[in-house]
Amino acid sequence: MAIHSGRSIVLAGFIGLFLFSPIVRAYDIHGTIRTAPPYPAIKKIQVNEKYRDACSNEQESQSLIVSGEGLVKNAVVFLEGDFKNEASIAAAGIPVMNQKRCNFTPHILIVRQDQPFRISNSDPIAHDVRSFERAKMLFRFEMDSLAQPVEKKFEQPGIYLLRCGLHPWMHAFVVSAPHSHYAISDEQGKFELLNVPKGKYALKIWHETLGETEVPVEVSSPIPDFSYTFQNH
Amino acid sequence: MKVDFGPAGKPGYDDMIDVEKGTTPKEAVSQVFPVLSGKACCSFREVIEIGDVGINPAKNLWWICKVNGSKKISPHRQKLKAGDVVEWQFIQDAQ
Repeated sequence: MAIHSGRSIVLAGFIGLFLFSPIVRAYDIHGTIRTAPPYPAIKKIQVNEKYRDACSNEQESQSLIVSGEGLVKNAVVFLEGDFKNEASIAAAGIPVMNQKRCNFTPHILIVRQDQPFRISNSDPIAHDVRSFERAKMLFRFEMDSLAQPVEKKFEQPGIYLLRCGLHPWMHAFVVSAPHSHYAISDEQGKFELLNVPKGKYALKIWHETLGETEVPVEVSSPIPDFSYTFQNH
Repeated sequence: MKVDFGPAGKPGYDDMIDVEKGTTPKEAVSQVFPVLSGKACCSFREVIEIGDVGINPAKNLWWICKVNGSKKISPHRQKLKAGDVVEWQFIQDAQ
């Protein structure tokens, strides 16, 4: 009769777990979003006289921000694929979309699908928040100066528009993401998608002015220098 | 009545029309072009499309209506009088 020590059994158990558990390999994608020349300057918007005290004489358009080297800010980059096994979101606070100096900030906010987020108003004046999905208005509420934040959520994935009904330049987007592989390009056009499981995906790039495109990617090792250049603007 | 498609680039309309007493600006424009209703702000009776040219909130494209030069009217409530000038303009606000 074979006699096993307790230590041997535990060791055998670990080896078995290692051999028979599926190992999910994951890699990071780092990339840059550009636009072809000529590179547009940031558009200036003249503010209606009655709002100048609170909103200044001029606002910089947030619709297209391109650096002198053609690097595009505020492109949403995401993967389309089956991420059903992904762990659900960690409760790391509630994301906030603020209204400050008569602009929504951040201009693009990524939240997980069905995750609550707050809309607040730091301005000394009232705003009139409206949300749209294409031409359909989803909600609307007025927010007085320094009003209590209002909590909202989007139950379906998508890119939802926020506008102020009083200040026509004020707009922003809330991205309701069904998984974690979403990113926004920064001032240098850079983005990163972390811990992407090995596989083939459609990498989608959406920009409110430059449009939307998709590029097939195969993730079998880290992708350190993905690059995409929008040709028209 | 005037209809200006502005940035949509579609030929507009500028002519006299006969309407029944109590007609609204929305009903008046629907005699000339097909009109779609929806909620862009405050009521599902708002005009969101005229002659296949629809509002686009993401692009800041909207329909506005003036009666005798004033925007301070409700296009689905205001009762028109003889001689009123109704203007529908498709506009794009800067953003």
